[in-house]
Amino acid sequence: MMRLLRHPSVVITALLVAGLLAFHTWSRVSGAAKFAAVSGEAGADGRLSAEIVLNVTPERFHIELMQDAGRVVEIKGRSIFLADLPAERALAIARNYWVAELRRWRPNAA
Amino acid sequence: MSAAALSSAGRSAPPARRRTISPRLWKGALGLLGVVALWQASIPLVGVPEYFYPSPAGVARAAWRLVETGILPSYIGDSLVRYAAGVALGVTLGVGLGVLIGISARASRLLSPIISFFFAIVEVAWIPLFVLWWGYGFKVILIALTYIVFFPVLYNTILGVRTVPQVLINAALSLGATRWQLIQEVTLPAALPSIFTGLRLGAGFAFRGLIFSEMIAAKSGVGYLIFEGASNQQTDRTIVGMIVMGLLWLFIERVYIRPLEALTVDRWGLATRAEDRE
Repeated sequence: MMRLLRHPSVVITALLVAGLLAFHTWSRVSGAAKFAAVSGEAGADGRLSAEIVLNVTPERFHIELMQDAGRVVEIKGRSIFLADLPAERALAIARNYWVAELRRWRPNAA
Repeated sequence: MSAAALSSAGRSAPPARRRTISPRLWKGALGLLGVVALWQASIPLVGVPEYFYPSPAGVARAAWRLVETGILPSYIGDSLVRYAAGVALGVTLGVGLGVLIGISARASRLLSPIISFFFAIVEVAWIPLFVLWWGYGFKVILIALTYIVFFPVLYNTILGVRTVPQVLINAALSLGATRWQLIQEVTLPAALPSIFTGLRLGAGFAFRGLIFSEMIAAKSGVGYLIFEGASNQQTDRTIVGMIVMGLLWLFIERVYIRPLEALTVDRWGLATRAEDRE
């Protein structure tokens, strides 16, 4: 049994799983911190509007992901303005490492 | 000095084990460096725009950009999940049906013609139909990969089951083994080297099939990255996708498939790897 546990394939898999778990934990913690800025914005229906600021210029990949989560109103520079975004989807977006921050934003104030 | 003293001195000072990098790894790394150097050297000779024939540095920049934007990790994750699910399902079905056909003449007569018929229809022919039935996404790719893995595993399992030495079966039966025990204790272990041959073939084919399936039936994944890069004249991204595919396969083969094969060789000693004969 111990011989099997020391097998390189098992060790490599264990290291990969540990790395993924560590990354997952870090993204959950940092995501919660980013989400805190907009957490009070959710209406009675649990939806909110937010400006999602990315670390990079948005590409089709990011825009499609945002469209899947809410309604993309505008894209300006590194920011994507989203409306009708369920709070849990906003938290999931905030967990991505390529998201720099979430800011308060109201569509009618734009 | 007596022989005993000599022997004792030899035992007390064993030669120190030096950790060295294997010559095979050196040769592999050198070969890879050679290819990259040739590629870089060919850039001024070819003299075409970067978007048409990117340099290794351009490809490295594209790879970094894809990591920075989160595209590459997300696509790799999607591809690996699809691949693992397709291989797992294909192997399960292939081994299950292979054992059934291998041990039962009735099942063989009933299923062999249907299986031979479907074997002739390549998965490429099915994918457009699958897309029509189930749309784009996971389900279509899963079915396509299962289809690809299924046949090599099935045929190799049948071969393995049918070539189990009769003396082993007779020995187990004479010891009072039930049909299930016979399969579990004799047939499956003896057929394992053949099953692994099928798994290796199927897993390799499935990797190629994954690229093709994602090109046609997905909006994410490394195959999609290759296709999208070529469509948008982002050749550097296409090459990143190709390199990632190659590296992923190398990883899967070296870390999982070869050790699994070695385990069956060690335990049952019924197969030899090509490298053992080198």
